[in-house]
Amino acid sequence: MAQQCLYIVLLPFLAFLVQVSIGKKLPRHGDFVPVLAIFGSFLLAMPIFMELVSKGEVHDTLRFTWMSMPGAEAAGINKSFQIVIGTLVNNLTAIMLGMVTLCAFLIHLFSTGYMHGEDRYHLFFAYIALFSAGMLGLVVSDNLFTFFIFWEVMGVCSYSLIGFYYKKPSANAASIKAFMTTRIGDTCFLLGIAGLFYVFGTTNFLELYKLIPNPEYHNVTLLGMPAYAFIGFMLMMATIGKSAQLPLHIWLPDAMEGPTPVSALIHAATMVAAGVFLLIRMFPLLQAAEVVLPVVAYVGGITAFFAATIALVQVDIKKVLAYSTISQLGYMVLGVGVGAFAPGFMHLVTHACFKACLFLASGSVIHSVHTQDMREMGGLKSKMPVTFATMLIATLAISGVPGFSGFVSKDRILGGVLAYSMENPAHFILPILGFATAGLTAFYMFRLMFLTFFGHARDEHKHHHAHEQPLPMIIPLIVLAGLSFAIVFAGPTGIESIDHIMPTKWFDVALEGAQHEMGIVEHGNPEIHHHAHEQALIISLIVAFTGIFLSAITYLKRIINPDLVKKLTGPLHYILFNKYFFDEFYIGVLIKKVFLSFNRFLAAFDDMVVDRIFVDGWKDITMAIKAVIAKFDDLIVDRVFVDGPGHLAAVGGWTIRQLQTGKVQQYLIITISMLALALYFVR
Amino acid sequence: MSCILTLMTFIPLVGMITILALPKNNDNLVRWTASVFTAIPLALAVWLYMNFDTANPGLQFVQQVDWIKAYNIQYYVGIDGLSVPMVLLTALLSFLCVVASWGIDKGVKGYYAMFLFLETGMIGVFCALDFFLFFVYWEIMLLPMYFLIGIWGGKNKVYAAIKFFLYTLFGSVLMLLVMLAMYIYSEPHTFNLIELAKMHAFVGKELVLFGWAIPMDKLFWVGLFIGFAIKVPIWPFHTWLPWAHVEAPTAVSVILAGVLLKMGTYGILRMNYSILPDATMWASNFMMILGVINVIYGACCAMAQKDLKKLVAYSSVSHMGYVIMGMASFTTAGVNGAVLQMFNHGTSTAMMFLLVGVLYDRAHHRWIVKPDGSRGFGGIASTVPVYTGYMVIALFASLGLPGLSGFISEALVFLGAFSNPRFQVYVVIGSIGIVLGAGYLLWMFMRVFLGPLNEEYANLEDMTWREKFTLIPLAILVIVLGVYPMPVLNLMSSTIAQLLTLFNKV
Repeated sequence: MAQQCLYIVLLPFLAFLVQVSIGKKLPRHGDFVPVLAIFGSFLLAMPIFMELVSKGEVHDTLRFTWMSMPGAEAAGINKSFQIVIGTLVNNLTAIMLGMVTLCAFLIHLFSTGYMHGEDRYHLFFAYIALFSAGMLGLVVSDNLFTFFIFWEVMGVCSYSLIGFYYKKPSANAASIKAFMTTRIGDTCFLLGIAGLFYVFGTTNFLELYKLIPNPEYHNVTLLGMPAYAFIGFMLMMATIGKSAQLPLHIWLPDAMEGPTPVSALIHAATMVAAGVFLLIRMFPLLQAAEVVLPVVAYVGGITAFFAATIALVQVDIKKVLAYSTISQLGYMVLGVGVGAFAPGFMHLVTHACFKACLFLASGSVIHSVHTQDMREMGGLKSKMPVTFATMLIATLAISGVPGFSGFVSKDRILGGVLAYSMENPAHFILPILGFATAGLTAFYMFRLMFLTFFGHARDEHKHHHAHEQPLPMIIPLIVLAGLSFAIVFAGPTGIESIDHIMPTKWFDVALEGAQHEMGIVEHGNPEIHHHAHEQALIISLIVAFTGIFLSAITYLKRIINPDLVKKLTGPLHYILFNKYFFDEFYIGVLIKKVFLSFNRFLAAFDDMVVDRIFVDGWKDITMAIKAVIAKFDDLIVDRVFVDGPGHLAAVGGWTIRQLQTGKVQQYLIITISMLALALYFVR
Repeated sequence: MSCILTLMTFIPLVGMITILALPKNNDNLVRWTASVFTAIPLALAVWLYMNFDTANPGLQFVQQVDWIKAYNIQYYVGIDGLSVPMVLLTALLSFLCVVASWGIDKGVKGYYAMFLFLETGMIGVFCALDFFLFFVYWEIMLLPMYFLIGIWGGKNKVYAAIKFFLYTLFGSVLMLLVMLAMYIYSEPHTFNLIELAKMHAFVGKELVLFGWAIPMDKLFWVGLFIGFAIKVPIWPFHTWLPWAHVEAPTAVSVILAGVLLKMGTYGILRMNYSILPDATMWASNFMMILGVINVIYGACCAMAQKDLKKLVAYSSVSHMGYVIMGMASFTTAGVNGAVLQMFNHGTSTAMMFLLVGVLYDRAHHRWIVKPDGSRGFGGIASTVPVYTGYMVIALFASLGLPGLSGFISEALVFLGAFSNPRFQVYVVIGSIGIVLGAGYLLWMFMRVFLGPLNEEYANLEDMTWREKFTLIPLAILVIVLGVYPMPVLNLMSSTIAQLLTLFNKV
């Protein structure tokens, strides 16, 4: 199985090579190559996934030495250094493999329709193939070093694809912003890896799981703080960058400049979730570090809430989904932070399916009406029935309606959060943020649905031209909508007390196995947990339906006039619409005012001070000395001692002047004669 | 084949003499002759690579002949793991640069003669094991470099050439003084670097200068270090570099950045590290700080540049900072990473300079933003897609994208330096350079290649076969070593392990 993983990664990578080198000359610009390659990966991944479902557990590894350097004989810090890499197939890998290959394949398929006729069509497929290889590589990595490598490969694909319409300055700005923002996190990630090498000498997951509980390592310090905490915070920063959490979330909404399938694949289903996947892979360390997890929880909770509030007022359909993604990623991070590790992972998987579906459906709408502004849509329900139906299913899922996948995972996260705050009452704010976000999510998602598909057409012309999409774009929508039902992951409703009659428990079994493998111990009182989950169920149902209801009376029935609300909450709306002014602060103030000015100052300093004064200054000093000597020569030596010895001195002055001719040959001759002279004296 | 190093060193010199003897006005004959006389050392370098025993940490292909007996000066050459990557790089870049210089049509004979002379000096420096011989080669290199910049350079060529020459000469004088002092205070008097390293003759002694007693090894260390630091260049001795790079013709910039800068770090490893290990330990914090300054200062300055070539020049300052950081870490990963970075920076920056040269040949300027504030290029990705493809490889290699060579060496430097508890803070500060590096390169890429097309450059010609020929080998190296760096790491790692035994007291 571990061997198989190599092929799963290599297939899309080979497709990338084919596309880059000869893609343009192939029929259909070679789009079938990546589609078939990723389908091949999917077929290879399926047996692994099915084995997990049927047996409840998979495990296989493959390792080989990538780099090794012998060290000095004596020990100390100069011990030999090696990096062993390989693949790891365990329960988490298998689930991720299934999810990623399926989503990637469907989105490749969708792209053949969506991107049809675009300039650089073959390169688009090259990039998403490389991206898929990167994501799959990350999933099968058995160590953080290759994990990081693939993480960066994805980053650069994301950069290229956000800037795919490279003639658009806004797309270029967005791509560079995405790369740079995530790069901050990536740098921290590298420091975290360096920390792991320093403490454990390895980044292999399985080895780390064994070493982490060892108290000997627990007491190591790094930069004056416990090593575990340092590494944990660095990895958390990596997640904040990649999964677009506060305060590095600013790149993800702009990333919507890329083609919509890219948003679906990279910026919803896979890459941004990789950040959460990192936290899940390294959960034992975060748990052992103790101080990290609460911070993670707050980052997630605050992000979830703030992004949801921004999503309330956006008018660009993709921007709403982007902020929704940030918010949902916040949920996952929150879940991991409160120790609800399995629900967090589950939300990662369910969210990938329904959010990919939402993005593809929105792509279908955009492709049809040629606008992203929801104010120009409306009434598309009858024109695009399949898109509407699938998007509705996904919306029900994300809003947390029982029977759909999002309900199961979100409810469990919220249960975990509630239990956490019951045990630690100081953190009472976390469940409030969590439940508030659930309500907001239901509200803005249904607002999106109502504005897009219901009511009357606000732009007759665009509405008139709207049409349903061809099959390659419809099939992915249907499949992904199918995966948005609760029954795929848990029982038919997702409510545990009902579903125990007819359980489909594969996910829970797999995650229990994973937790066991990682040595995660469940803290806390099971009774409190049980109690919390029951309460959470009720509250989350109430807030979800309240959200939907409010949305319906505002945007469907228009009992509440949204424009009036907007007027009444003027300043608040203004702040939300402008996304709390993060961009203005980061780019306008920090980068343009502070950072670039500093660079310009430094470059000027380098030129004017270091170079002109400290270096060229020597020339002036030499010239001055020369002038003095010349004057001395002229006034004193020549005038005063005109005769006899004066003549000799004049020759001396002449000699010195000859030194300043700027002829290099002479300098060289002088150097060499100095050398000869010195040698003579030495002897 | 113990004379292989001598052959590699002097075949270019034979080429130079041949070229001078060739008839005038037959430029193509000169070009082909030069290619042949640089291709032979390259072929020998390949043979050297095949036959180099990677398990042996010591010297190989040694040749030792008395030269000036009275002063115990020998013609003593040989290579070990530190020098072999540099020799390979020099041979490769010299050959590619001869091909890349095909377009030069002013004083072709003189240009190629100087170029071949330069190659002799460069290979000589990396092979020499006698300080005197080393110094001779070191000085020999200066002369052709001076003329190559001063005659075939750009607008301010004379200023740049003089600056380069005097600055380096200043370093040479310091080196010369240390060399003589080492000779005097070693017992028996010797210039032999290997002997000097074995002797530990300068520890604990003092030298009285102007009435001050100064620890001898530290004084020597500082003298050598400044001499080499100018070459690297280490801040604040770096200001000759933007001038020289910007004014030099393309191929000479490639050699400057690809080979000459590495002589500084190579010299530090060969002299300061091997001969004066105690003083090196004493100065390690200081070196680390300078390395971090180089990384960040270079990157910040690069960010503000409007001239493409100047940007690449400052990026070299930044990247050489990683080499210093790795060296100063005294860890297996760090020092290996540093030497690997010397090699990798050689290939990636050579690509960058070649590519800038290609653009300059067509557009006759290199402004990212013109001095009047209007944009220099813009959107040329659509007119020159192949060129853009190569630029993407070079660019991502320099910004340290995993999968390309620069990443491996930078990562090793960081992992290594971080595993030495003394330097963890510096690593954290230095890591800002990773972010900045991506910043200036991508920002440049955006302004030059992306966005709406600047109509002035709508008819830019894409790469010719000759230009591709110079870039393909480098691109292959960048990719292959990014995926599997062991072919180069293997060469150096046992020598470095041996070198590090000197510092085990850490």
